[in-house]
Amino acid sequence: MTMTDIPQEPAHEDDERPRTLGGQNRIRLIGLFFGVAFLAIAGQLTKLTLFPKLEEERPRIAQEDRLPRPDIIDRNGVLLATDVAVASLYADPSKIIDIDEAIELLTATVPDLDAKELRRKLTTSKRFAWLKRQVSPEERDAVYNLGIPGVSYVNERRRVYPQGHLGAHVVGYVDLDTKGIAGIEKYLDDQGALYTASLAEPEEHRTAPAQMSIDIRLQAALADELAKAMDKFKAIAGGGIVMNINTGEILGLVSLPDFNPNQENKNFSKDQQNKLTAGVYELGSVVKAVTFAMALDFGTASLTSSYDARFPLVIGSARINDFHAKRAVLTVPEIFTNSSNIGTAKMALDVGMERHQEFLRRVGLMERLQTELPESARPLLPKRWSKLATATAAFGHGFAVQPLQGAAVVAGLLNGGHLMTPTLLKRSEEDAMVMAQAVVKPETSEKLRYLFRLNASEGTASRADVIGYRVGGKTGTAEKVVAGRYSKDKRLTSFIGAFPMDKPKYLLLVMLDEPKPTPETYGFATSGWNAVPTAALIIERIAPMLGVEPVFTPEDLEKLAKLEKKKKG
Amino acid sequence: MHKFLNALLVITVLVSGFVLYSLEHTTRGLERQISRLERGIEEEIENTRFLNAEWSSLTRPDRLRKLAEIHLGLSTLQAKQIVKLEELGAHVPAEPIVKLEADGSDPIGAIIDKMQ
Repeated sequence: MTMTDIPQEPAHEDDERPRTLGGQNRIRLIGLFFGVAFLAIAGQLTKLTLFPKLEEERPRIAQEDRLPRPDIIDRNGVLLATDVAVASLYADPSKIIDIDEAIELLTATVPDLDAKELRRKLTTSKRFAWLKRQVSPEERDAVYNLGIPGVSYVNERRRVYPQGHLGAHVVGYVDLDTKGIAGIEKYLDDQGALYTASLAEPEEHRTAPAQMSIDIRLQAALADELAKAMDKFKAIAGGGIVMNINTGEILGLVSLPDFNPNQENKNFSKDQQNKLTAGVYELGSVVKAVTFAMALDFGTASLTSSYDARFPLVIGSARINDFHAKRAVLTVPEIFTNSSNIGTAKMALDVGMERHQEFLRRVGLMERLQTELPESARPLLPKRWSKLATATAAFGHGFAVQPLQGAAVVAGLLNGGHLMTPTLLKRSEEDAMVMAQAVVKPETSEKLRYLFRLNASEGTASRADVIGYRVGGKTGTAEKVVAGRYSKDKRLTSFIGAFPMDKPKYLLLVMLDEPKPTPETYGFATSGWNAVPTAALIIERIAPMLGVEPVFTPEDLEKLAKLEKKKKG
Repeated sequence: MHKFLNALLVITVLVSGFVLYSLEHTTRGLERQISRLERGIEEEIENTRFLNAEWSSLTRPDRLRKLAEIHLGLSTLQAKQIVKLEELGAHVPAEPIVKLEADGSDPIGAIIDKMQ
C-alpha cells in the first residue's frame, strides 16, 4: 500500500491541497455568515435598547394642522387676544371593555351627554369618536379620574378675547377654524400664513405678540362715554376715534353698538358693523375744515378777508342757507365759528371748481382709505362736479366719507400739513414722517389750529372746551338722507377736535347717529348740544391718560371759580 | 489556555449584559422623567396663558372703573387736581388732615420700624 501509495503521493498532495483549501473556505463562509448574523442581531439589540420607542402607539387623532396664532396686545402690553387650551373628550371604542358601565359613568359625570347618542358612538367599529368638544377643566379632570380605559382627552386651542367687547371692532375675530375673518385678525392672515406663524414661535414657549397702536384704557373711556351719550340722547349709533396726529396711530376706535367677539355664533347684525370705516357718512360742517385749509393754502382767502353772508346763496334753482343765520358780512374766523354755509360755499367758489377737486384728491378724499382694517368703504362723491356741487361739497353736503378718513385728513391738516395713512399698529414718529405726504403749507396748518381753538373757546364747539387742556374743534350737523331727500329731524352730529391746541398731539372724533332733542338741550339736537359735550367728557377722561399737562390762564381760573360757584349755588 | 479564554469570554458576556441592561434601565427612567417634566412644562405654559387671559379679563378698564366707583368712591380726575412738582408746596395743608400719631397709632410708621 505504502509502495503504491508513495508514487501517488505528489498527485495525492496535489489533489488534497485544493480539497483542504475548499473545506477551509466553507468553514470561513459559514463563519462569515454567522458573524454577519450575530452582528445583525447585536445591531438590532443595540438599536432597540438605545432608541426605544418613546410612546406606545395611540389611536391617531384626525386634526388639521393649525398654524399658531400670535397673541395680540395693545400699546401698553395688555392682552387683547390669545389662545388657550381647552380639553376635548374622545373615546377609542375598541378599548372599552364594558360599554354599559362606561356609558353609565360618563352620563353621571357629564350631565349633558346623551346616553343613546353615546351608545351609538361607542358601538361602532371605528377606533375614534369625540365625546364632547371643549369641556371645562373640572369636567376634564372628573372624566379622567373615572379611569375608563379608552376614554381620554386632547387639548385643543381656542381663541379668546379677554377684553370682550372693548376691542371688538379693531381686534376682530376668528372663525371656528381659527382663521381671521375681521379686524386685525384678518389683517394678520392676509399678510400670509407665514407672517402670522413667524410671530408665533412654533414651540409656543415665547410668542412674539402682534402689538397694536390702540390703548385699551382709551377704548374703555370712549365706549363708556359714547354709550352714556347714546342713552341720554336716544341715538341709534355712536362712534369715536382718538388719533395721535404726529404718528397717525389710532389710539382708540369705538363703534357702537358693538359685540362680544367671544360669543360662539358670529352672526353679527349690520348695525354692529364698524361704522367708522365700513360706513360712509356726510360729516357735514367737519368738512368745512378742509375747505378752509384749501382756501387759506391757495391764498384766495386770509384770516382777515370777509364774505357777505347776508343773503342765501342762489345757484341755479338751489338756495344755500345758514343754520345759525347771522345775516351779516362775516370775516373768515367768523364764518368758521358760526359755521356759515354761505360763507364757506363762497370761499370754495373763489378757489374754483378745478382746484377744489384737485385739493380733495390731494388729501385723499377721492379714494378709498385702506388701513389694516379689512372693512373699508369707498367715499361717495358728487357724480358730476358743477358749480353747485363745489358749493355744497364745501360744507359737506353730497359728500360722504368714512369717518376715519375724515379724522385722518383733519389730523394731516393740523399736524403741519403731513397727511399720513392712519394705522392700527405701533409706529414711531420718524417712520410716520417718512411716508407722510405734504398737503398744505405749515403756515396754513398754523392758521387752521388758530381757527379750531377759536371755535372751541367762543364758537359752536365751546362746550368741548375742557378748561386746562386747550381744546380746539369743529362741529358738524348733517341731515341724513332718507329715501333720497334730506330729512329735517334725522341728523348725524359730529365733533372733530384736537388738544392741547398750542402744540396739538391728539385728535378726537365723536359721532352720534340720530340723537334726539332732550329737555336739557332746550329741544335742540345739533352737534353743539350732544356730540360736543360728549367730547368734553371724553377729553376730561383721556387727557390725563395721554399725559397732557393742564395749563391754566388767569381767565381759565376765573371761569373755574365761576363754575364752582354755580355748582354750590 | 482555550478553557481560560472561553471562561473569560463568558464572564465578559454576562458582565457586559448586566451593565447594558442596568444602563438601559436607568436610561428609560431618565426618559420617563424627561417626558414627565416636558409635559409639566407644557401644562405650566398652558396654565400661564390661561391665567394671563384671566388676568387681562379681570383688569378690564371698564370693570376696574366700576369697582373703583363702588368701593373706593373715586371719580374722573379733574384737570384742576393735577399739580406740578414745583407747585406742590402750595398745596400741602399746614396741619396733617389725619393725625395718626396723636392717637398713638401709626400703622405705616410701624411697618417702617419693623423693616429697619
